[in-house]
Amino acid sequence: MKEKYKYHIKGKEEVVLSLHEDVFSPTGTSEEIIKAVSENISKPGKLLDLGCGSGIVGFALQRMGIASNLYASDISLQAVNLVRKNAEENNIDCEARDGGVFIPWAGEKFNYIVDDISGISQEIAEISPWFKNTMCESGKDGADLVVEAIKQAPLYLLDGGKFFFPVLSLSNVDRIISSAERVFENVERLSHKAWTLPDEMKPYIEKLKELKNEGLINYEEKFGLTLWYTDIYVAYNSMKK
Amino acid sequence: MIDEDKVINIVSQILQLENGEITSVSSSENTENWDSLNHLSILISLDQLLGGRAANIPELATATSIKEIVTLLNKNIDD
Repeated sequence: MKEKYKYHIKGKEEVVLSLHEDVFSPTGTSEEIIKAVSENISKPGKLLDLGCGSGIVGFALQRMGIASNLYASDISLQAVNLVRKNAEENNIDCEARDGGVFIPWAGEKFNYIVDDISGISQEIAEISPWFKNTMCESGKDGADLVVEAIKQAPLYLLDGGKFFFPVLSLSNVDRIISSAERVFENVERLSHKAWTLPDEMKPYIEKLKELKNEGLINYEEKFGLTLWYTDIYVAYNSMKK
Repeated sequence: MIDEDKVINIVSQILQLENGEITSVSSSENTENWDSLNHLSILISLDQLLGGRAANIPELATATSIKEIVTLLNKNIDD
């Protein structure tokens, strides 16, 4: 078992999570998702944390009062077991199920789906510090799982529901956004955050260049640093009349 | 010359601080929240303000005070 992870919420009890080396740990992108979602939901609702890892996104949104009923799933049974343990330790009511993308949620519908399924190029995942013992079967351009989630999402959204998803520049941004625009009437970018390339990945810059030249990922050189980006998007359809 | 007030405004916005909390002597040493992630956001906002001209100044990556930032911008950018 790894060290505890703490997420502070102004005016609320903090979320304290146990982590596990075989379960995806919270990242800066997780925190960006929480921030963007919390700033863009005014009415609490039934919320699904898709690709929940250790549970941070759903737990934080539940504690903020945004998730009136919280559901979470992950392809990793180990992750789901960890979420159940973390939910109990944080006194959070959460129904957690294991299975890929929407498989565990047949017949269910939600007001909000927050997607945090692996969204970086599989070749980058292999050299990154984020996926050491966890799987990332997102394809060479990193978009396979996110695109799959986008395609299926409308079936699992209640009328007026919203689908939130991160788009990382270490994946094929154009493929993900064009897929969302085909499926949803409205696709809006909520936030944009830059990150420096982790030190562990610097020896592999030629691999990144190769993927960039193929149009599969993107990054920029600025201020002498290698920068990549996380954008958080929301997609939704107009309410049925 | 780069207006110091514009730099102060950007730093205040990124760090979500009130007017007056950031001054010409502020730095990462004496300012809460001025961490490496927020510093990167400060640089990107400055670069947008300056039409992409700050991106070519690598010294900005380690310039973590208002004074250093303004000095570097004035040294490297003709207004």
